[in-house]
Amino acid sequence: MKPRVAIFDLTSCDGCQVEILNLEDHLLDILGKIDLVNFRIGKEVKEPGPYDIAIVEGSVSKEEEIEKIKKIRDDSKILIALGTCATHGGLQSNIHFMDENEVKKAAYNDKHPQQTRDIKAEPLSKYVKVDYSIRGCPIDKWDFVKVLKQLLIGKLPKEDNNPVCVECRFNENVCQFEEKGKCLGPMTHGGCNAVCPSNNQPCDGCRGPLEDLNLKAGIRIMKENGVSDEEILKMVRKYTGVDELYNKIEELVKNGNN
Amino acid sequence: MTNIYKPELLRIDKVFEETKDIKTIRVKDTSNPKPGQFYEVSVFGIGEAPFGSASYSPDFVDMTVRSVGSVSKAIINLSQGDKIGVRGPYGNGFPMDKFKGKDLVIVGGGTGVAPIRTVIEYVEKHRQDYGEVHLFFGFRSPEEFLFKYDYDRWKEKFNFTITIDKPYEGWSGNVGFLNSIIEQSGIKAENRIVIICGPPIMIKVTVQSLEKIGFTDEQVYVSLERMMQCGVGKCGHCMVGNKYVCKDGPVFCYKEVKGMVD
Amino acid sequence: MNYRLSKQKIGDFLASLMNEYEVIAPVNDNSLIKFKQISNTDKIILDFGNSRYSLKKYFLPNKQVLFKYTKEDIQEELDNKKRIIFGIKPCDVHALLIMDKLLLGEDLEDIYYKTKRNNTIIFALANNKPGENEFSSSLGTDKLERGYDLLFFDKGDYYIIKSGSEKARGFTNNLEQTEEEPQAELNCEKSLSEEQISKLKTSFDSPVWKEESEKCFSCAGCTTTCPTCGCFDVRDDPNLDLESGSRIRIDASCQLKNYTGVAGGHVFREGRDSRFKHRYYHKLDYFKDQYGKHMCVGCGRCITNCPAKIDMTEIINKL
Repeated sequence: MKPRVAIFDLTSCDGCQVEILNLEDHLLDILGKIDLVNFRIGKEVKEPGPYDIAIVEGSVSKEEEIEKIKKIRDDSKILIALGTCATHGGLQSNIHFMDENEVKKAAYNDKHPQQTRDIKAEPLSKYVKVDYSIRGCPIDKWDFVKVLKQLLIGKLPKEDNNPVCVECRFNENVCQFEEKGKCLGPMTHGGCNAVCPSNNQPCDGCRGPLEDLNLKAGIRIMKENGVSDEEILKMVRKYTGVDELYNKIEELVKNGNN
Repeated sequence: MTNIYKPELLRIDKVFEETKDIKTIRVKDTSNPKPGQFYEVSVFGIGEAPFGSASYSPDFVDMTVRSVGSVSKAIINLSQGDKIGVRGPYGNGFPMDKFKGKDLVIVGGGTGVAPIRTVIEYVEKHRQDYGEVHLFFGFRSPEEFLFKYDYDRWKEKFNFTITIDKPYEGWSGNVGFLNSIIEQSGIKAENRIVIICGPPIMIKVTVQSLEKIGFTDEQVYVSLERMMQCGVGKCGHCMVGNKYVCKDGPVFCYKEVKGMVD
Repeated sequence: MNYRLSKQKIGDFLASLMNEYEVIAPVNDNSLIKFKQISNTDKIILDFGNSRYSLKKYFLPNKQVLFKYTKEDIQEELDNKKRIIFGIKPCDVHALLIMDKLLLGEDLEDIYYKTKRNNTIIFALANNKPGENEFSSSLGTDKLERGYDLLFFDKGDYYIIKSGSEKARGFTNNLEQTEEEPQAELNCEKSLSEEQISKLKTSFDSPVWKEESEKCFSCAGCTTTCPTCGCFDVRDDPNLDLESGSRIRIDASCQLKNYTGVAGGHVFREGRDSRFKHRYYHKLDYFKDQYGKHMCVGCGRCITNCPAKIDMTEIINKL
């Protein structure tokens, strides 16, 4: 019997699910191997659980989403977080470092009043056990295929834990540290084929910090290169600031001795 | 040109259920490994990993597999008749010729008894070359015993001692760690070689006990575990100091191991 | 007997070989000098220190299919393309001779490397200009006695060419002969003396490793760009039918934590300092114990490509 796979979304832009649709012909091959029973943006069918594999895009940003993710977890053998919002809270997790009222004022007005009971955007792992994370904003569609194939073959995928720099060097890029004085590549999970530096943009860390990161070195070098404290903080917090590996970032950046 | 990375496809001939998460698989193969050598085993789609040979035979190779990594988990799920990829044998193996004329103390802890079994089978076939043979096996509990089907035969031929870490209902044999059992056994260091396979901590404390008895590091041989991918000294992962564990080892005299630092 | 070729004619000379060979030469790509396949010889850079990235990918690609498997069969994939690499600097030829020691010889030949090596013609370019951070002159890897098919010496308007192999004959037939004996001198600013390197033997517990490794990102920029770092991981990439697929190997780096991790979770070189130190010891101590020469050719790429600006020569000179 083909495994029952369901794709869900919480608070997100749906961009990661669009990446799945972008697989086009390959998607049809994949559909031959699985029973896709829920995929809001791709299919009309909506079957209840249990599921063999649930894939969830988006952060938990509303109270009702806490219940939703817990239900998905209960219904699923394997739960995969899809994309930066699901793995780290994503762009909307910036609210952790901003004035909440100001954000609300900017987001809602008389025409568009607030209708949900929102909470600060959090990764899925804050509320449920996540079996594997497909990182990135958006995900790399081939990364998705790779993970799915491994799950279908009966292997829980293992992360490489390589920094972005590895693939950046494979692509023989100009180092953005050298070019622009800043880059989160050495501290960030690769697997994206170094897409930003390969297009002459510093890595802004969407795949999250490596467990092995050397934050002190990163801050020191960026500061030496004239990058301001605010800019370093902004870069690090853009997508994955809630990661506990970045807990001490403010202290480290403000500490002049780095 | 032969391709060192290309495995041979072999059918699993027999599967022996050892414990709840350990199996021994047998493939027909005439490479007849030296005691202590290993093979690279592939389950295609999952990957490749090194497994020590657990048998000494010109007709087949046994490999004892515990379900820890993705490849071993996949092997555990295979059955008789399934195909796996096999390359090898690799590594130096125990220098059995050098041990000729000596009394042997063979010590195995947990899955470490698998490579030890190759040594025992070798000694059985070359019995006249060696003097007195003591076997010391240690496991967490009787549920973890490996190669139970061999024990009666070994008890007849050798001094066979088995111990478990903690008391276990229904077990009336030895309880305690291998090192203390060896200390209590009364064996003397003279003209003896010790072969140890097991977890690093067990090797360490066993050597400490052996030193108390009077053994020197030159008398002790161990098999090391490292991350290995190619098995032939190319991929680099298993390098410790100026040695490749896969090619220069996995068997080392303890005197050499002491100088190896990461 | 040597040969002489006017610099103006180098383009035509290489172009005449393009029917039979893929020609790789230094070009300017996005402001970096890189070795790339060329179709237009006008693009070749003739006056340069060295390329930013090493040439090892032409012999040991970052990512390479070893074989394809099905349920019944294993088919290896060998690259039989014939290549000429023009413009390799002496230190990079030395790097190939080092890789040969590791990957060829004995009974354990790497046939993927060997095939590419046998199918590649080396047109080396004698040194007159050091690469950024190069220190080859102190290691003796700035000059070549072997390892090339042709060796080009830049004499201003023309090249003097030395022939170094049987294979080279086919390329020199139409060249003008000359008695002129060329020489090339290289003066590198950075240096690393044998005496200093030998201090590694007694510096394993030096505080330098811990101190210096605190600056290191463990990003693998050094190993990825090093011409003699050949470590790899082996992986399977199944096809969607889940029964067939490819076995691939990908560059690995001793600077990354996963490099010495075993099933069950233990990591042998877990600390950044022990990984950091391992590279220096492998390059300048262990390899010499194993194969009789250093694994470093002094190309300086690990220095140039380090985002933390860690300098191998400075570190060894601190011991």
